[in-house]
Amino acid sequence: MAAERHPAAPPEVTCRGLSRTFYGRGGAVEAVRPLDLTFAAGETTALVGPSGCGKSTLLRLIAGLEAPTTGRVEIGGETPLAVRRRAGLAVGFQDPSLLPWRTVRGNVALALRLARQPADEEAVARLIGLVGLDGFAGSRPAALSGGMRQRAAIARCLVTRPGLLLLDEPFGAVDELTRQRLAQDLPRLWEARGTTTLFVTHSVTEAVMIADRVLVFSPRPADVVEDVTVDLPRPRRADIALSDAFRALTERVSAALSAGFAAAERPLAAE
Amino acid sequence: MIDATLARLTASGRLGSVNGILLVFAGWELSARALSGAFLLASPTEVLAYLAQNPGLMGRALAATLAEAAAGFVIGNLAAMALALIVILTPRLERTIAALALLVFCLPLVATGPILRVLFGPGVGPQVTLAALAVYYTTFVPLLVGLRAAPATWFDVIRSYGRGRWTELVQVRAAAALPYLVAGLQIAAPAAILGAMVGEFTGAERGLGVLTIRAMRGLDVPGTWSLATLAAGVSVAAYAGVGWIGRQLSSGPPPVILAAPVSPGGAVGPRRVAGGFAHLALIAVLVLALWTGLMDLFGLNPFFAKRPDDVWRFLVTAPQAAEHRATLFWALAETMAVTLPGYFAGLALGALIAAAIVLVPPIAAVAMPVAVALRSVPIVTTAPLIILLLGRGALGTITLVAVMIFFPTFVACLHGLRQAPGQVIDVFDSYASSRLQRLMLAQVPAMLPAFFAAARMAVPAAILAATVVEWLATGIGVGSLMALSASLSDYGMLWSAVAVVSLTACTLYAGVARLERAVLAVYASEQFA
Amino acid sequence: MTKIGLTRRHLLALGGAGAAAGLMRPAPLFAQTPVTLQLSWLHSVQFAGSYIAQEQGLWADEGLEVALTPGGPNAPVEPPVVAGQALVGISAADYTAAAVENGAPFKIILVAMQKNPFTIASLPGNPVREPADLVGKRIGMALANTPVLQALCTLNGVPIEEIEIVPTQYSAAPLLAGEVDCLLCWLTDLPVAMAIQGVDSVTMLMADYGYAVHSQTYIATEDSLANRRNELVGLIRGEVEGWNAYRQDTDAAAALTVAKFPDAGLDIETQRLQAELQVPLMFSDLTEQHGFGWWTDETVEANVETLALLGRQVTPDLWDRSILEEVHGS
Repeated sequence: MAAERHPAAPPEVTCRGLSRTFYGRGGAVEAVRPLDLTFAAGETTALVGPSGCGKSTLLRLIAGLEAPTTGRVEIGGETPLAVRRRAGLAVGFQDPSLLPWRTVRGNVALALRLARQPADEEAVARLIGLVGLDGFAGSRPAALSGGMRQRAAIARCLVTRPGLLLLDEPFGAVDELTRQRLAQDLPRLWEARGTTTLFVTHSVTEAVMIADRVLVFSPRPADVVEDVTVDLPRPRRADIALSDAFRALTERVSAALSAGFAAAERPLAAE
Repeated sequence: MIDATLARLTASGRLGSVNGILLVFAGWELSARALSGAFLLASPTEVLAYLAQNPGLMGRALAATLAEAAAGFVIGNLAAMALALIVILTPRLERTIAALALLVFCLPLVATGPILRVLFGPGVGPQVTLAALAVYYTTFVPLLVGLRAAPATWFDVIRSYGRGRWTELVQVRAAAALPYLVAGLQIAAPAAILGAMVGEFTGAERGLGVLTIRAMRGLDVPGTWSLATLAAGVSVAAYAGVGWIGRQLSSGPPPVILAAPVSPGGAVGPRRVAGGFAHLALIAVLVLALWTGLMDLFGLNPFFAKRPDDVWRFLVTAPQAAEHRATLFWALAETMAVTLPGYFAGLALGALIAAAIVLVPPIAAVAMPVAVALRSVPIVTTAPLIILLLGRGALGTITLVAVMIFFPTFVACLHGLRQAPGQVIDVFDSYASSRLQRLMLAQVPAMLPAFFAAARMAVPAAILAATVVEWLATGIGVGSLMALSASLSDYGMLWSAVAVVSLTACTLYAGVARLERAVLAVYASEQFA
Repeated sequence: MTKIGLTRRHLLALGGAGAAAGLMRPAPLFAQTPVTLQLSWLHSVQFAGSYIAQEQGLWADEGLEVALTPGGPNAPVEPPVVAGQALVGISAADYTAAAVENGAPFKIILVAMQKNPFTIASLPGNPVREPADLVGKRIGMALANTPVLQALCTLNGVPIEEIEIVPTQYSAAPLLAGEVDCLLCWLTDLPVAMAIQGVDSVTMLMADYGYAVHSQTYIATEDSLANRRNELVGLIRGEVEGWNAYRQDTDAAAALTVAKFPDAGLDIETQRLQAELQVPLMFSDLTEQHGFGWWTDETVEANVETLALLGRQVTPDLWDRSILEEVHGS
């Protein structure tokens, strides 16, 4: 199916000196410290870190939904706005953000319309099937569970065949069993298309299971404390989690997370 | 809700608003100069000069009208709060109370004014009562919504400690209702002033309404516009003042009024149609009993206080009943012929300007002051002059009706447009979609609940505006018929008109409510969860 | 001590004010009976005779404490009289006839305006001086007054279908804006307003062309006529004396009106002109001969005929002269 529509080749994403500071009543809050990062074309990167560390902000900066305080983002040599204009990227938000008055089918089809792509009922139906919502295409979001809504949102992200996929805790509201299933099944969808993917997660296991690379962030302001390459073979099945290599990787990521916490807490303890 | 919108607009463009206000005044001055000698429009400078020359007279009149309006404001809003509390504590009574409250709100004031004067005799009784009647419904409805605008889990918390409805009310509902109450009170402030002025038409000794009649008939154009300006000025001030107090009391911005109505006689689903009709019959019996009972209680003379059986005789069994019906329904048709276009024009204009502001935000700087001013100028002072300006045809009345309902619709729509759920706007941004696309696909559907709430409340307002204009300016339609019937002691016709106009208003309201339920079942199904 | 002194001074001040008021109005010799006179419109020199009666204590002499309640565009006049809240109301023969038709037990007990004030007002450039001039004109009036115009046309043989009726409410603005050629209005109202604004107008009094409808008629119920005779006589006696005083000096009456109602927004020039203009409507050879408020069988007959043209069937016994006869001692 990918061959039929010739999707754009996945882009490389580069961030140069990227930072974001929020100015509010309580003074300035630095959400993202100046970062230099490169995400290779077609690679899947997991961003892990404590709550509120600025991962979501980083994702929004890369999508261009938030203007950086300093630095810039390039996606395959283009600005984020230019990429958005040709629907070269898609964002999956923490909240499924479905329009309540549209059916699942209508919500997925909406993305095609927003991306100025021709209506494609067949593609919409296929993606709804792929995320396991067969039989719910005509339902409105209010009639679905939280996990089903999130899967509908993922279908919406994928239907426009973006070269860059930015997912913010895509499995956040899903029960553990479904979560494991999605973590196995969905990556295949974008892997087959060769998409550059960045996704935020709290789950170390999930990160290692899905990603080619895991970036561990410190508490706010977001700064990379560990960059872990996941060189496990693909496709990965559930039982890979039992392997020593897998365990070693998760331990390394967890250790980096704890170290990040400790580093952040030290000044507090000193006072 | 209005307050939050205004606050946001002024915060975002205070300088723009100042420019907008200056632009409005400049336009006014220029129009007045262009029309000078026509005895139609006084310029702002003439108005200032008039106010400077007559400070004592205008000050005393203002004080008198404000005192009446304030008393009516307090009484009407307390009544609204009492009704809302009764409904919350005994939910069973909701449909009955809501229906009666609507019906009383729909009573045409051309007819209620003289009756109140007879009831109260000399003094401020009718002024205060009409001011109270003008405000209670627009407070009652949002307050009821607000008292329920708390998540079910909060109530579960209260119940888990074994506490009841009273604790719920004090601990949860009161706080949840505050922003809604403030929104209601804000709309009420200018309405109370208009109500008091119309009350003064029933034979008051002093007040802005009294001076208005005098200035109108005395061809005192600067006087007329000075009174209009003064009344508009205090209305805007009262509106802003209530908003300011509301902001001091509450932390978050007031949410928009979303809940679909319990339609007065209507049923929700087909299964409940039978229950709906039974309820409708109950309300009808109750209304007839109250009608007769109150008249007997106050010992109102049957010469002018016609009972339901008198109206029945007048319209159905009397020898000239067919003639009576023809007169009444022809007049009603004339009224509806201007009310409905004005109603739809006002709704459309409100929604369109709100949409325009969302598309091109700087428009707000000019549109907002104009909208507030238009809403606050009491229709009774300027209607005859505006009719003269726009011509005696249907256009003038339609315009005035549209102006009366434009503002609440506009504000509700503006707020509603900003209610697009969650991160939906981010989704649109992630495809760099245009503002228009965002408006049409996300914001307009999200606006629908607010729009329909405004459309419902606009029904009585539109009929009120049309009948007042007919009475004071055009001399046709049911507004004029009611005034004429009163002057010719044709109280059979007057009460028949009251009954038919009120019933028409309630029916249209129920019709809008039904349409609202059908549309919201698709666009805001969570409202019925 | 100081406090008591202050209180005493305060009391003295109040007493002083009371005494001053007492000087202005003769102190009543016995308990006053409160009665209400319901006016037909806002306070103005239109009711100056009543104000004089009140201020000069003419009613107090009769043992009455009269409250004057103003009317207005949405004020009831007949209902308070029916309900007994007002002893007497100020109506007009056509409105009274309509009320009686609808079951009100009214009698006319005094006719303040012998001549009906209805007037056709026009501008000098395009004047209406007599009924025939109406042909081809656009007239601004309340549609409700169509029977009035019809009656005038019938009385003077003018084809009403050749007059274009433009429905307007009560204001001179449509005439000045050129929307109409003439207005149906009261002589003492819109033409006065135009004159004060410096606009000359031509007026044609309909009463001069056969339109005989008593105006500013004082009405009372049959029940009051039977049971509250003394009060009615007292009230009407005060009225008659008040209006006689009014005639002596209309400027003084206008000044009194403006001073008495500082909140009514009255303009002294307007009030003076109005006071002057209503004299020929209220006073005539008839009143000269018989006294203020009088009527004869002939004037009543003319009224019955004109009212018939307006669609009101009345009999001469709608007028009850017994109170006036007692007042004028005939």
